[in-house]
Amino acid sequence: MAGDSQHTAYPKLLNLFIFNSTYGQKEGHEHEKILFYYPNSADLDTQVRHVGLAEAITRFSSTFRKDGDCEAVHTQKTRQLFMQPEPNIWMVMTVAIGWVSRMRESGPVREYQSEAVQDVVLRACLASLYRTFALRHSSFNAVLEARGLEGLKATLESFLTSYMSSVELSSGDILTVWSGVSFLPLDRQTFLRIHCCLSLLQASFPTIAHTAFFYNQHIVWCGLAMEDLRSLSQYLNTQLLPSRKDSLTSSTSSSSSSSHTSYLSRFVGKGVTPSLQVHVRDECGELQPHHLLLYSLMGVTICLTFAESESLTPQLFEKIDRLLESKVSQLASDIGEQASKKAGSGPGAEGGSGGGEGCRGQRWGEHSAMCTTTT
Amino acid sequence: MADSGTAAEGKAAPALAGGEAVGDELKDDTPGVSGEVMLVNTDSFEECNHDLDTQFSGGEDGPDSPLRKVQREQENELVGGMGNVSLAEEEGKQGSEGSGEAVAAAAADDSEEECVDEEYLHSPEWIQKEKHVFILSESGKPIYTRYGKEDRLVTLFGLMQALVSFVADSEDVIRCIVAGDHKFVFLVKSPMILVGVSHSVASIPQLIMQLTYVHNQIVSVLTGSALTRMFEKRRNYDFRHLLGGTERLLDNLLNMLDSHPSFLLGGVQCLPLATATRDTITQTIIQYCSKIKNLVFGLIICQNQLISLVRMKKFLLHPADLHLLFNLVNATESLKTSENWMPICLPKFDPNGYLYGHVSYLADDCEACLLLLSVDREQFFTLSEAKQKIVDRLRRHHCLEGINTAIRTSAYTVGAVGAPELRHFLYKSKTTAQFTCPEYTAPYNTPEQQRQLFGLYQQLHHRVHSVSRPLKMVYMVMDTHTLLGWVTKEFELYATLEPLVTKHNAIVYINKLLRWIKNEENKLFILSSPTF
Repeated sequence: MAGDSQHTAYPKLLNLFIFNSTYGQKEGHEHEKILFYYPNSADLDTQVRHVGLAEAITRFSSTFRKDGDCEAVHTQKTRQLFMQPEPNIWMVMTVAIGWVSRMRESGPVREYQSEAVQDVVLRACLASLYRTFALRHSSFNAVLEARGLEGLKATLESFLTSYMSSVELSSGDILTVWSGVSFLPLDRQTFLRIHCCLSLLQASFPTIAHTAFFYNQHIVWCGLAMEDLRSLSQYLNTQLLPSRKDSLTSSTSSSSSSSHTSYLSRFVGKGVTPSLQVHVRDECGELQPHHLLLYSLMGVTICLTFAESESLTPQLFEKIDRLLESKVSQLASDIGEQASKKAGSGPGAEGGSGGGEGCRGQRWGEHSAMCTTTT
Repeated sequence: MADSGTAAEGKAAPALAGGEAVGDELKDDTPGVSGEVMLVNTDSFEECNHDLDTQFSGGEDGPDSPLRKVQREQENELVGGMGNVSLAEEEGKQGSEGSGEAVAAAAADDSEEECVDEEYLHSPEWIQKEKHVFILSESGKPIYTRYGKEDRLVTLFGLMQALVSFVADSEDVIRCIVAGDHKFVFLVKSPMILVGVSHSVASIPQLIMQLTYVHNQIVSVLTGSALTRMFEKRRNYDFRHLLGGTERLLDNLLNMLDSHPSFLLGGVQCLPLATATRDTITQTIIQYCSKIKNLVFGLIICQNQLISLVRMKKFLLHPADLHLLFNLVNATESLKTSENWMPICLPKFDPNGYLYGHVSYLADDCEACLLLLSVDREQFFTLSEAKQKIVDRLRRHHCLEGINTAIRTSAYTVGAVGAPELRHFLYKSKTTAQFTCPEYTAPYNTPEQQRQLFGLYQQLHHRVHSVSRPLKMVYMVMDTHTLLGWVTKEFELYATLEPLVTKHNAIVYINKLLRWIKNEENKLFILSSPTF
């Protein structure tokens, strides 16, 4: 590997920082602009220099382009991406461009592969970072108002450290640009059963605001607005579920699990009332804080949101668990069967002609069922 | 740096049920192909990228510089030698004279008030200009701005210099800033920094190429070695006084960069002339100039088109240098009335020394201009005599009238090709670095439409020559036209067709076009490469 590193290098994240251009206007106080800086091993001078340069670039670009933001800066060795999600608050990410060592007459020369790093992909990474932050904390300004400057900095620190440990910011592809949601193809019966289950849940607990049903990172049904679904889906798949797998494996090794808290093993989170605060749109279309409960069993994840004002008690959790446990495990095994049947019948369909027709016909029927029932 | 063996995507010939495949029959008949080459064939974008990583040699004329080579050759041939032209000495004198004035002027500048500094930055008209070009020295002193006066933009220049030097501190070089449609392109060529601010459709590599041309134009006036020397002597040097009349040249060049395909293609357009006439002209030049020592290039040009070029055996002329010569002749009105003897530096030929050019129009009634470029400073009278003899012989053989007629009537329209749905095309023959294109006809007969069409060619060119994903052929159907771009080893073709043309018909028309160019190739291209 040591030999390899001399001949080639891959793109990697150099720094990521967030600053507010209206702070620290006075000489000598520029460090006040910085709201977050990664890596925090860099000394304050370097941080201030980078932030100052970024700010100068945004000002230079706004001289000529008044109605749009600076988006990217290309240098020979780096690519720097800019985003201004809220007025005066800038998110800036710098990625070092990969290079390949080539021999020329004057000796080995580094050829920088600047075409391998694409602005649109990296900006999409920044955009999804902001979307996830907005899901959890509504917006930078909201946190600022609620908890003050120090609170904002602390929130950013904790959020971004955990985000960056689970998501690779310096690479991506077209899927990152789309950052879409994947639907699970299901047959009509199973879909209706899932729908009934969720309706029963909502009827039994009228305080539930939204529900969503996921199976293995694919969405089956969702009552949230599409934008929220997108952020939620991404957040689930990148942060919550992987961390849950870790906590599951660690909890099976620990011996303390009493039966009356067993329902907690199916809810994602810590404590007796495990829930997350998220900001999603309610029926009027306004962004409001909600409690998010995640019920996870055998590959199925059900998301429930309650309005902020609801108080969550352990009894509530227990009741939900009692309602859902048997239904969800049955559904999960059915879906699992279907998925394996599909996988099994897939290559078979291409082989035979008569048998293949039948399978294909069945699949068409399933797809049309999906279409009619989701309206 | 792109390897020249680009991975080709896209098919070389679109397969089609029935109908001809494009270019099948033409493999041996490609128009404009010639074994003899007189212009350097170049993909100017690759060159620019290469240049970005290597600077001009900058120092004094090394023993390998082309000028020295020419001189050495001549010395070897003559007994006693002609003696070296001491270029270095002369420039040293020029430099010290200039610096005296500059000091006084700089003091005067400082005392000027800067209250009108921000004027331009608040004027929406100035900001909206499609392409700004700024040139500043590495210490932030303004040198040139395309629109407005450079001394009113001191803070803007200071900001640009700060950006460049901040990035340079981390041992990196800033290339460009992208903000939606706007591109801010930086080109650092010590001791100058060139910045282009554009919201046109030109791509970043194309903008860098344009800035390189601007830089070459300055080198052409001052030489590269003089620039580095000045920089080493006094970092705060105010270049503007040396650049005296160059602003006219730069303005003209920038206007042409936006509208003339020769820069985009890296080629030269030739005046369509009957082979007999062109041969007579070339023979005449050779006859009277071959005995003149130290004469490197002799050429006749007219209105951005080349009529004839004769060169010394070992040296090829680079199309970029030829473009600068065109620009010089176009932008300098005073050339019309007299014979001129001027130092010209050709950056691609030798960036560190001057060639001396005898520049004059052939006659009062002829718009063509004769340039005789030599390394010898003292040759004015020899060349002047040669010019007179050349003009006399041309007149005797009625070539001057031939040239005049050609200038008036040789521009052809796309209708001459006989392909009804073809609207316009650019055809560049790669081996000879020459291109041809018809006059603009409806619907491209207004400047607005022509600008749009040129923008489309720029986008097409950028797509085809993209460094990471180059294409052999691209066919774009849009609502008001259909575009075709096709690159092979021998030629590049960009064509505009009616929007509703079918693919089959498009192929038929393109084949017809290639056949037509082949038939006319002796008129449209200079296929021979005459030498002294």
